Amino acid sequence: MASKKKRTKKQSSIPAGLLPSFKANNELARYVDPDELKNGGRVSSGAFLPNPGDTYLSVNSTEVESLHDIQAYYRTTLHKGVGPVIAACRKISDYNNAGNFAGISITFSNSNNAWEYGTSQGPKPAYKHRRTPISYSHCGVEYINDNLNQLALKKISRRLAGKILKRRA
Amino acid sequence: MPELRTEIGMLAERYLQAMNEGQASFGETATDQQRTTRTEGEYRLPGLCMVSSSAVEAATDVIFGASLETNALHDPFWSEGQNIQIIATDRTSIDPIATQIDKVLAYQDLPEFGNIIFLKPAASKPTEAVPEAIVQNWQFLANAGLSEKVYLFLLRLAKKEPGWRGEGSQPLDYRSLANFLRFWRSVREHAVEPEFVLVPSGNLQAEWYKDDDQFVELEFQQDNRCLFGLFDGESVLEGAADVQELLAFLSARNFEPLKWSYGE
Repeated sequence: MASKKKRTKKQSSIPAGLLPSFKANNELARYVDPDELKNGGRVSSGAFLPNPGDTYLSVNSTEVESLHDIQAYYRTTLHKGVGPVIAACRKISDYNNAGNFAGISITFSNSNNAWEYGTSQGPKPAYKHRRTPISYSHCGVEYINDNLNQLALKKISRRLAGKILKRRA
Repeated sequence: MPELRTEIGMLAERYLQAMNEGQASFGETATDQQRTTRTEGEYRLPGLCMVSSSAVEAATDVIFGASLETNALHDPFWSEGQNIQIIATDRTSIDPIATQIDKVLAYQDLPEFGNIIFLKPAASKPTEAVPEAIVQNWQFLANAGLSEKVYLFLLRLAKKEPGWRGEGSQPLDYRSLANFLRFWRSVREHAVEPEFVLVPSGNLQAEWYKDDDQFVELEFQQDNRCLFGLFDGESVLEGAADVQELLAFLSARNFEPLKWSYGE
């Protein structure tokens, strides 16, 4: 009983009702390895490729959590707690455009009030809130995953790369 | 003092050329600076000794100390048991040394330098400092004519461990690096050195980027194929091809895209 109370108290520290809306202008932050940042501050397309086995592209919503907090999460999980961290922020509309260019049909469903992408099993949510115990803002770009063919993945990643929209903390 | 200086990695080819042109000689003080930088850890590479044929006999004690797991480490910058590569100006001068170090894996005639012997770092004596992708491509790398800066960046990428970009991300695959090096050998006279990135699948990607409208990306896969993207400001070409097909395609464009670089 005591532990249940404790758990309830811990959950209440999370910002109440703060969920990502995934509106077109909202941004998603993607971790950038220092070696993926190239001359002129360009972010390589490699930063936007999923890992083998990934079922979605791991990102964080800046709508839910500040970029500073997101970078602190990256620092903890991917930088062993030290050093500057780079995050590439792209709008939902950028992701949509990149996906559409690669032949994925991404449309807004008024009935579900969400972006969806077409699959052989019917439409599925294009973006999902996938919070973890240590990252409340963690989300998935669902149509970018390791099952997608390589050419499509490359087309998407090339259209998310390049722009100098990096942020470093 | 024997006429011998140690050198690192891919500087050897450039060094030998400079020697041939009378711009450098064994024993010049530049190596002292490189020795200093090696102590910082970044340069813990398999060693490379350059030995002039006339100096071999006088220098062998140093070479043995450098290359074998002996107690006689005359050169403090060599680690005990460190793998080594030796280059000499002729074969006969190096054979006695080679037999005591490791078997000679390849002899290669490079007309511009005379006979040069390459010793691959011994697989039987792996060191933590030498990633597999580098070891497997040692000779290709030695002949690639890449700058020290690029070589060290490739080494840095090759040192990334499984999971470097989160669960599932792979270290550099030696076959992908070999694929790039074969490609590079065919285009290097027409191209500037690209930027590199390791992609999560373990493939090496080379990028010639001028701006957001003009760039080329080539992801070298593990089977002689390449995923390419060419953006020239007017058209976009993306796909997958054999490296030979890609070479023909780029040749038809006089390799111009491979001359793109940021800030040119």
